[in-house]
Amino acid sequence: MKFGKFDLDELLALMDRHHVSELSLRRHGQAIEIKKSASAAQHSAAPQPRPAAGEKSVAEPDDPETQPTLLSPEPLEIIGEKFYQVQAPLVGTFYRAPAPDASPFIEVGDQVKVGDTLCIIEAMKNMNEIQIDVNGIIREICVKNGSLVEFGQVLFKIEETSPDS
Amino acid sequence: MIAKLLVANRGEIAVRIIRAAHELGIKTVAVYSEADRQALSVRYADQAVCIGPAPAAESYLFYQNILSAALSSNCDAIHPGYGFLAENPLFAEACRALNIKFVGPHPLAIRKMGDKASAKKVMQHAGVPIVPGSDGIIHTLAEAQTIAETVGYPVVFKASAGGGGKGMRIVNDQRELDGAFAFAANEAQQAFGDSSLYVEKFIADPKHIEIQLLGDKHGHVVHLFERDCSIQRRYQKLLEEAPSPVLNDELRQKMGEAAIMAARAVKYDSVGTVEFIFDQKQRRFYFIEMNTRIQVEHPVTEQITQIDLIKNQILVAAGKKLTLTQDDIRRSGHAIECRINAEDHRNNFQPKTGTISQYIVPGGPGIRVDSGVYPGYTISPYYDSMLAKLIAWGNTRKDAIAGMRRALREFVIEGVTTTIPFHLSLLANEVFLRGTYTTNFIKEFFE
Repeated sequence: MKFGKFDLDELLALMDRHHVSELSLRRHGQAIEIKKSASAAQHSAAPQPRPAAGEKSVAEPDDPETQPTLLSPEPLEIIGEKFYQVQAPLVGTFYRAPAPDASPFIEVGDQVKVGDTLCIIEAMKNMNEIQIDVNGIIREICVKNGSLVEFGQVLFKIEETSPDS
Repeated sequence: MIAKLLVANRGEIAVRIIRAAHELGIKTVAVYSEADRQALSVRYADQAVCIGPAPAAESYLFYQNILSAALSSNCDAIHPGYGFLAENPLFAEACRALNIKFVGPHPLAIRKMGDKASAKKVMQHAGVPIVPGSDGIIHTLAEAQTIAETVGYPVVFKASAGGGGKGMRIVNDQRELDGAFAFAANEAQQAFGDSSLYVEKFIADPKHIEIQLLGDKHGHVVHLFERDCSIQRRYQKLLEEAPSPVLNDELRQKMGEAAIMAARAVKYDSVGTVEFIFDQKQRRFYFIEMNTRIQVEHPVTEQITQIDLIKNQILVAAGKKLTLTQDDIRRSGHAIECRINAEDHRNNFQPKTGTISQYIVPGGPGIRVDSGVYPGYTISPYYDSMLAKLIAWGNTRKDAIAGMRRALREFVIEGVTTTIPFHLSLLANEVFLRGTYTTNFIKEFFE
């Protein structure tokens, strides 16, 4: 996972070395905010898309190990970013990679452009590639690999960038 | 056995199926459209999956999403309820291909019974009485006359392409035949672009009486007596009762046996209903069609037999043998169901939308309410207008009517116009009380 030329691990190491507990950086439309809690989690788990009152969600609780993300939504809301949400156009099983042993199509922080494949939704043995129709940076992956996604469920949050940036 | 069941429906029937499944120890997955996020079935099910936007074609009828939801949530069976995909042979076949149990009959039975003309042929072959008439399209007046004389007047011309009374003409005697033939052919041509007609015996005071069936995958079929569903408006049933006030035990047994013959003809292996038209004057019955699904009015039968049809439907779909024999099935008392719809009966039964502000269901001895609504529930314009089924049981028909009247008065639904006042006036009507009402009753008394 990269922010500019820095690897996330490098940033965390720098923070440790300089006893910094909070760090906030912006660069070319990219934003990162890292807050280290007392338990010093390396990165925060992506919270669930919050269901409306009385609504039942199919998504299971996320495993932080399988879903690293740079930013939790709360700080992002403070920064005031408006994210483009990619919703599931069909019901099925969500896969981040083209094959079980392949690397994921995208990671948080990746720059994506119109037509890039973000994930696969398997429906009735058919692998449906889900492509992005904006340019931007992946800010959040909201669904755990291999889980059931329902119609309209938010899969990714993307910070839109202009085509020439 | 089935471990996890997806309920591919909405409203009260989804709730009914989830209840039965949970009592059998089966986990449930509800599916819902974006308009049904607040549905009771979504709350009651162990899991819920949104399958599409409000229009049924993109959600409850869109079976790729439904099948995908079943596979991804590890369901081993799907219950289609009634309507939507319940009588779609392609859906049943798709379930089979994906190794998901379809809680309904085998696809070929759905296919054979789905087409009215082919169903009639199957029944005729099996010896089940059908309305006597022409074998397909008639081409000449002379042909029509021969048939009319064989089956006896009155007869009726019907448009082969038709429905809704267009191209239909009743003929009381031979003198009317010529004019009626020309008139019906002309009307059929104008309405459907096809002038072909068929002719059959006209039944003047018909009752709609249906027999409930239950079959398993091991060749056993039983019937659970009849329901009288003659109170209908434009083929939509409004009130059903069992037993029928006009049948005696001899006729009841004959109709039950005919329905079992019909079921055997297609190796029927689930719950289903054979519908008959009953000629009150001649005391004869004729096959109309078979519904290869659970029906809205099934609770009427459950109340008089104390047999849970939905649980049995799930069990036989799982491959269980029916332990019931025909002799085990007894009936007791009388049951009536009123469909409480969000409709204005004074205004041509126009469907109404709105939010239910107050909702107090009746109770007490013999009362059952199957519903999918609650206070705060909003009735959307996307689906049918049924809010609840109110079922009253009594030792006699008179007792059941008294119980139903009392329950209708107790039932409080505020925020939307309902058919409760219509049912109260229906239950006070003399013809209804006599029990001899026909399928023309609503047209004659309420329109």
